[in-house]
Amino acid sequence: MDQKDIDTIINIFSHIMGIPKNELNDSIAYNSHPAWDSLKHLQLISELETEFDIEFDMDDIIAMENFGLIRELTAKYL
Amino acid sequence: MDVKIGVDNVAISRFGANLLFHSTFLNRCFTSKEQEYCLSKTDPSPHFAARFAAKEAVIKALSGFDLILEHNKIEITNDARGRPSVHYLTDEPSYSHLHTDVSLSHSETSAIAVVVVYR
Repeated sequence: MDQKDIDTIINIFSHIMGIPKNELNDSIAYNSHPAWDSLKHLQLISELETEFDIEFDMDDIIAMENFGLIRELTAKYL
Repeated sequence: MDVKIGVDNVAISRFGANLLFHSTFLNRCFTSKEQEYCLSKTDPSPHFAARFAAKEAVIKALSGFDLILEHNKIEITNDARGRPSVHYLTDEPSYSHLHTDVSLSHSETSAIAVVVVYR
C-alpha cells in the first residue's frame, strides 16, 4: 500500500465520519466515537470497496474496530 | 425455549440520495428483492430505513446465540397484508431451528424495529 492509497483511506474515512483529517488517529474506534455507528461503518466499507474495487471478508469487516485497523486490514486487499 | 430480543432505530434522513444511488452500499445491506420493493415506493427512504433497523435488531438478537450474519443475508419481506417477516439466506444449520418475529414502525423522521428470536 503506497502513500496515495493511505491518503485515499484517510479522505474517505474523514468524509464519511465527519472527522477532520488533522484529528484522525489510529485509536478512533467504532462504538466509542459518537460519529461511528453501524450505518456509518457499512458506508465506510462500501466506499472503500468501491474506491479500491475490492470486497472485504465478513471477518475483516467485524475486525475493523478502529482507524488503525481500517488501514491495516484494507492493505491486505491492495 | 431460549429467547433473545433486539431493537434498533435509525433516522430516515440518513437514507438519502447519497446512499440510495450507491450500488455497493445497497448490495452490501439489502437483497435484490428488498431493493426492488423499496425502490418501487414514491419515497424509498423510510422503507430502506425500516429494513435496516430490522436487520440491526436481528443481528443484536442473533448475537445472544453467538450467531452473526451479514446484512444482505437477512431478508425482510412483507406479505399481502403488509406484515413483515425475516428470512435467513444461509444454509448454515444453526439458523434452521430459529423462529423470528419482527415489528416495524416509522414516524416522519425515524424508523424502529423490534425483533424476537427463539429456538
